[in-house]
Formats: sequence, C-alpha cells, structure tokens
Amino acid sequence: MGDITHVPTFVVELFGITLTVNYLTVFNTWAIMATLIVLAFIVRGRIKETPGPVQRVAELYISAMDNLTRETLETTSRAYFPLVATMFAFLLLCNWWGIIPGFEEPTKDLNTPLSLGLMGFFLTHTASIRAKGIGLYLKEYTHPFFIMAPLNVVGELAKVVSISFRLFGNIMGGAIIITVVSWMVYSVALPPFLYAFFGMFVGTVQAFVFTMLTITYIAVATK
Amino acid sequence: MDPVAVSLIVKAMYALGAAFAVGFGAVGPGTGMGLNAASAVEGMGRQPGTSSDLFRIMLIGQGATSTPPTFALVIAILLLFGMGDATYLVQGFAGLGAGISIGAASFASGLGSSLPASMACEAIARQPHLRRPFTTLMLVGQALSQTPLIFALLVSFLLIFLPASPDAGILQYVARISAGICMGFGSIGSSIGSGLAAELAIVGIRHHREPEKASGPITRTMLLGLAVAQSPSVFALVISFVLLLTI
Amino acid sequence: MDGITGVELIRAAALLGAGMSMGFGAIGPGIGEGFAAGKACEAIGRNPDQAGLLTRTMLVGQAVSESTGIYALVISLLLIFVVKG
Repeated sequence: MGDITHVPTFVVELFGITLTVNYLTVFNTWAIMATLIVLAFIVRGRIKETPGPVQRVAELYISAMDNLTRETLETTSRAYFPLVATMFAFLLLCNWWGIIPGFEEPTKDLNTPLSLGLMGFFLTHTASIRAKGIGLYLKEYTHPFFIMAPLNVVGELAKVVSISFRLFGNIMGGAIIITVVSWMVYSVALPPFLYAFFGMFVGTVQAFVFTMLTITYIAVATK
Repeated sequence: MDPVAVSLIVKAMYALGAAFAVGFGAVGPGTGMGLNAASAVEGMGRQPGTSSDLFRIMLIGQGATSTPPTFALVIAILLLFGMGDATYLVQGFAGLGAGISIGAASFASGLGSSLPASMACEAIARQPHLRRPFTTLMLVGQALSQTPLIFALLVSFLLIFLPASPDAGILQYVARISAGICMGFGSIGSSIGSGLAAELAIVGIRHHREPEKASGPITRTMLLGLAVAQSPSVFALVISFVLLLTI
Repeated sequence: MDGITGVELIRAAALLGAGMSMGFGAIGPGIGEGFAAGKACEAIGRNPDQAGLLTRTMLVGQAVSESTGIYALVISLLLIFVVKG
C-alpha cells in the first residue's frame, strides 16, 4: 500500500541546475513510443490492395480520426490531423499501459499530462496569432472591456491546468482504487475487472476528452 | 489527559459517527423510495392494466435504492461493535470521519438512484411495451449513481481499519476527519448527477421516433457522459487518500 | 492536548480546508455534468441523426464545467503539500 505515495526518482546536477527525474515515467514513455513506432512499421509493411485484418483496423482508426478533425477544424484539418491521430494513440496506450504487469501508466505522473497540455497551449496560441495576426490576437484579451485583460490571461492559463489535472486525476484515482482494493481482497478476484473498467474504459474516455479538448481549443482560437 | 477520559471521548466519537452514518444517510434513500412509490401509484391510477408491471419495477427500483442505507448500516454496526477496542484519540476521529463519509454518500446516492426509478415507473405507465429498455436504463443509471458510494465505502473501511499509532498528533486527527468530509461530500454531486442523467436518458427514449432502436445510441452517450461526470468524485477520492496516507 | 504549536495549528487548518475544498467543490461539477449528459441523451432521443455532434458538444461542455472541480483539486493539493505553517 505504501507504494502509492512512493515516487522513484534520481537527481541530476546539470550546469548548476538540479533536475529531479522520475525514471519510471521516462522509461515507460520511451517504451510506449517504441511500441507505437514498431506498430506503425508493422502496419506499413502490410499495406496491400486487398486489406488484411491489421490494415483494416489501422484504416478504421485513421478514418475515424480524420472525420473527427474534419468536423471540428473544418478547413485547417489537414495540418492538425497527424498531431491529433498521434496524440490520441499515445494517450490511449499510456492509459492502458498499467494493465501489463510490472509497468506503470506514465499519465499517472503529472509531468506527462502537463507537458502535453503545455504543448497544446503553445500550439493554440501560435495558431491563433497565425490566423488573426498579432494585433487582433492581443485585442481579444481586452474583450469585453479593457479591465478584463488580467482575467482573460488567467483564464487561458487555467485551461492548461484543467486539461492536464483532469487526465492526471482520473488515471491516478483509478490506480489508487486498484491498489487499495487489491490490498483489501489480497489480489483475489476483483482487480482484473477494475483494470478493465479504469484502464480500458475510463482511460479511453479520458484520452478522447484530452485530444478533443486540444483540437477544440485550436478551433476556437483560429475562428 | 488521563487514559479513561480519552477512551470515553473515543467511544463518544464512534457513536456520533454511527449516528451520522445512518441518521443522515437514511434521509435521501427514504425520500427517494417514497417518491418512487408515488410515481408507481400515480401510474397505476392512470393505467390500471399495467399495475403488475409497475409493482415489479417499483420493487426492483426500491431494492437498488436501498443499497446505500445498507452500506451506511454496515459501517454504523462496525463502528458500534468496534467501540470497545478503540483506545487512541486518532481512532475516534477516524470513526467520525468514516461515519460522515458513508452518511453523506448514502444520502446522495439514495436520492440519485431513485430519480431513474421514478421516471421508469412513470414511463412504463405510459408506454408499457417499452418496459425492457426502460428497466435496463434504470438499472444502469442506479449502478452508476452508486459508484461514488463505493468509493466512500472504501474510504470508510480504510478509516476504520488503518492502524492507529498512540503518538499521532493533531495533524493526523484533522487529516482523518478531513478525508471523511472530502469523500462524503465529494460524492454528492456525482451521485445526483448520474441519477439525473439516467432519468433524462429515459425521457430521451420516450421522445424517440422509433423507441425500439433508441436505447443503443442513448445508452452509449449516457455512459460516455457519466464516465466524465464521475471524475469529481474520483478527485475527492485522490485527496482523501493523500490525506490518509501521506500525513 | 498539550503542546500544540501555532505552526501545527495552521497546518491542521490547511488539511481540514483541503478536505472541505475538494468535498464541497465536487458537488457543483458533478450535478452539472450529469445534467449535461442527461440533456444530451434527451436531445439524441428527439433528434437521433445529430448523435455525433451532440456527444462531442456534451463532452466539451462537461470538460469546461469540470474546471471548477479541478480548481478545487489543485487548491487541495496546494493546501496539503505547500502550506507548512
């Protein structure tokens, strides 16, 4: 039970800056990225005129993501499609990763959702500046009055906080419930069902919500 | 303080916790089951032909609604029988916290799970041929409305069974009771919200052009929406565990 | 109850505040999100062709209304880990 609050870290001194690294998160993230790349190569090697089962699943995924981006972003969907498809696949695998014994979800560490959230933040604002020009972009902060500018800035920053804490809180909560219930029933029967619910179902929904919110923020900012 | 006085205070706190668990926890389910019976009776008055169906659905709905007060009763009995073994002040605070947690959760989840049951009775009285999708949605909604209750039960069990050390200070005292308040009140919103969603989902099937085909897409959307609506109670659970395990 | 220092008292109050912040802060978003989910289901019943659009709008709306709950979570974590008295 004590391992809920235990964080495996090591500390690096780099040019006078102290960096604390959670090596489990780093290892799991790299393992997920490697899995995604290997999967992509497997699918790529099997593309044929008459699609086999692997290609059919991949095409289903790609067309679903394409529809999603098209409906939300309309004209600029082509530019953001690779980001959306990759982000959803990465988050999905992250949230499901804890089902494999011995591995931990990287999204259980706040740093992973926070960095993805910051990426979305910078993307949104660059897209906004590119679509409207810097003048109109800055002018929007004074909407509806000039006095509201600080509130609008706080509101923009709060989006990053809410999008990343939502993912972190849900995955962390699921992991805590699974650990505590396993401790209470001595890992007898319940944990597999809990993994199915919190890992597969909640993990999928939260990955979808994260991706959906990122593209919705971009869509709202460029309009 | 002398040890006799401390153990008396601990016993008093256990009793208070048990009283809060059942006293507060029975309000919601009691009201809910009454409302459920009211809508069943109203439906019978309107459509006497459906009365056997309505009676069955009412009993099923009330059976599911009586799960929350049963959990509250279990915690209250555990507290009352555990009274004799409790010696340290920190256990008293933990017992009070356990009572608050399950009491507030039972209040909300009883109220929440009675909402789809009432609506199902009303809907079956008007469209008796659709009783199968209505009953399914009612049961799914009630089960989801009781998920936060299970979280609260988990926190209550942990509060009661976590080992207590004699040299715990004021921080541990406050952390135990705060974890109970957090989980108990934190589950209110998600429970009532889930009940509301299931109730409105039944309304959705009633308005559908071809109600026989409606339950699939409506249930999917409801499940998706409720997975998001449960997250406030998951956050409350996270804070409760941090309070219990790191302080 | 001997020897409670001022620092301990502040920290204890912060812990109680953390529990109350998350506990009461979760009520509003929970009810609101459930209501949104229910209204989306009702709307799908009336207009089944728009199910995709309705579900997406529901998710985004819920996410926005959940922000207040997330602020409560952030404040609770700050109260637990940052306030040292």
